[in-house]
Amino acid sequence: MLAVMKNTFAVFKTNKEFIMTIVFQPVLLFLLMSVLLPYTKEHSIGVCNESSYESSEYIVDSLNGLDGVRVEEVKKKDLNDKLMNSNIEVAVVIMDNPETNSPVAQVITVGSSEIETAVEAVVMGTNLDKVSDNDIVHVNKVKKKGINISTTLAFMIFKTLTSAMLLGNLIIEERRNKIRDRIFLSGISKGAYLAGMSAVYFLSLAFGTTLFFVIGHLFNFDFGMKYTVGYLIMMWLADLLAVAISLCASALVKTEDSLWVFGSFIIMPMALFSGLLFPYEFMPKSLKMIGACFPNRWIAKGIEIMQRTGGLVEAVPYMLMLLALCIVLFAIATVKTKRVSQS
Amino acid sequence: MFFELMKKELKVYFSNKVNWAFVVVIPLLFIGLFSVALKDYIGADYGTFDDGKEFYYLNVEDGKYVDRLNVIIERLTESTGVCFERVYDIEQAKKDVEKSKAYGVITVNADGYDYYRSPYNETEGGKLIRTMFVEMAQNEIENIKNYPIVVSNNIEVKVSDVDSYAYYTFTALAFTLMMLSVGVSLSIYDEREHQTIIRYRISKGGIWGMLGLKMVVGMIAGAMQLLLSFAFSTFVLGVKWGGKIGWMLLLLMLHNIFAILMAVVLGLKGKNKAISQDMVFLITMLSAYLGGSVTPVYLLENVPVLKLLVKISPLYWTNQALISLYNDILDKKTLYSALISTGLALIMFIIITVGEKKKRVVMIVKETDDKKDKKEEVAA
Repeated sequence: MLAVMKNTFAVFKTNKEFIMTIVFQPVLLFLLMSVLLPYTKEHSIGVCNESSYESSEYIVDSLNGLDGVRVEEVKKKDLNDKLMNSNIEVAVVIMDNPETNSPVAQVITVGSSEIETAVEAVVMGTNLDKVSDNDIVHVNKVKKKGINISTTLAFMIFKTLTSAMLLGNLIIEERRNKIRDRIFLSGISKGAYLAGMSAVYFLSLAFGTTLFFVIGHLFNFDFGMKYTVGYLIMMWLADLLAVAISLCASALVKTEDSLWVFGSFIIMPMALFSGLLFPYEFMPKSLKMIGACFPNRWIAKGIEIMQRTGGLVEAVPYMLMLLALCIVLFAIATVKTKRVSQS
Repeated sequence: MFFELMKKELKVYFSNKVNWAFVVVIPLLFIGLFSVALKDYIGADYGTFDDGKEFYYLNVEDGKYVDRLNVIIERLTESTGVCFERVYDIEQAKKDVEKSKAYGVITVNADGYDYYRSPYNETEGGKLIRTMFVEMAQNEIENIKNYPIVVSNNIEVKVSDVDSYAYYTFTALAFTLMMLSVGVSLSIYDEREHQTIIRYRISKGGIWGMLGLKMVVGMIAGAMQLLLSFAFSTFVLGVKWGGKIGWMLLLLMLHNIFAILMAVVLGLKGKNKAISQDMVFLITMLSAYLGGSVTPVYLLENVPVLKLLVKISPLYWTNQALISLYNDILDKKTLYSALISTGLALIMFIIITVGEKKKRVVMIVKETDDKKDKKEEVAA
């Protein structure tokens, strides 16, 4: 097995593209996607202050003080477009009310918004005299967090699974060029051959995952959990699963082209139903049920559980499910490889 | 002759099951899947306050801060639906907050309030409730109760009908029309691989005869995709294309022509089949993502970097125009979209023409050299 591992490392060394594709490209993509993927549950409010009263600023301050919403200043002429295109969900227009010598506000939405009444409550609850009991509420301090990893999670799992397809490619190539037969002739068993190559691929993928994890910590990414090592464990399991799927696929298909088809028609739909292109939690129940059957979702679910409960133990069932699936896939790959070699 | 060749091209194109999948399955799958999957998201129904709960703990049984809390509870429950639960063990309550059992714990003291939130996983709903509570808690009861600001209704806003079904009918269709070009690109690469392209180059009709045929096939496939999507969205999803349907079809066809010409360029220039295919896919995926065919465009426009980047995608302009036309608005967006698709198609046309001219010159030079060599050989 060690000889196979050394040989696989040598292949990596001579062909730098492997290392680039397996280790660094995913990390770079993860970092890029962490910034570019915009799915968020943050509501957006547009504020248009047309009032001449100074106290109108207190309403703006109240809205700006809201956490969990994005508040932007909007000009009255852009209001309609912004609402129509959903750039803002709720608009607050503040105007003068000469009868009361104070500002009035109108809260506008184009459909129904779940925060409309909350925004109204904030606007109406604003103290225009600004005589208030300051500093009577003490909120516990929380470390300020950066980018939330949850938005990119499905993408990361997908990319991890596809990165390992190179392993399948390499195995098929060695099989086609009869290199594998020569390796077997040298006395190396089929199991050791597969295990050796898988180990190198797993270590490379795990290195990339760990690198992202470290960078994430350096840049203060928000892992949303008490023990962030839980995230790392789940992603290592994703790496293991990626290797197992790739290994199994290489044993089941004959050519590299078929492996591409396998990637497109099996891994892609798996990722789609697990929230790759649209957030899983917003999917209808029927689609969620389909997604829940795929291992991508087990990884994400494990991480979500750790985020929600703050503990690692609660995610153990998902870890075990993933491990069991990996064992099954490894077993299929080994048996199939043995059969093909015998025939 | 033309129709014979056309028949042959169509036969070759539609004998490939993958091409059928691109024409029939992919658009219906994308439109259907995206429309359904993002129905709640497009409506911004994030379930922000769903099952929302807040704990409160009384260190004092009465006093102005207890009274104020009662009014706040009333206001917050009324405006958000979040329920409040009194707890008697503050430490356990804090642990429960960390386990997401509640947004936070409000402790009422004789001199004010303490608010405990989770240091790890405070939700968006939790953040909103916390900040609303802090804002209200600083006011006197009269201010919280009496609503000093009147909410009037004197501004009228046009109502948009764009739900997820309408949005993805147009944006996913524009995306899949672009995806169709993969087949054209591969078909041209095949001609190169089998060296038949050289015969076309030296034939009377020139290379444009062959390219024209492939482009027409691509356009026929595009028209089929359009027709199918129209029927699916109208009869299954209930999307009404509206009075500006002619403009919509025009924009989609222009977009299709650009995508086909782009595929021709990549088919002619790609170093190998996989690279040609990957390039078309990459450009299509990138354009689709930035154009709002995958993620709703307003989300992209809310991200500072993406706000500018989206404009480089031709799909962005097509999608924007289609959505406006769906809302019965014929404005500059339609003009921009038509100009961009036509402009890009022209650029692709120029690239092909210049590239082919160079190739012809090289071929003539090579032919002359070969003749010269042969003459020299004969002479020798």
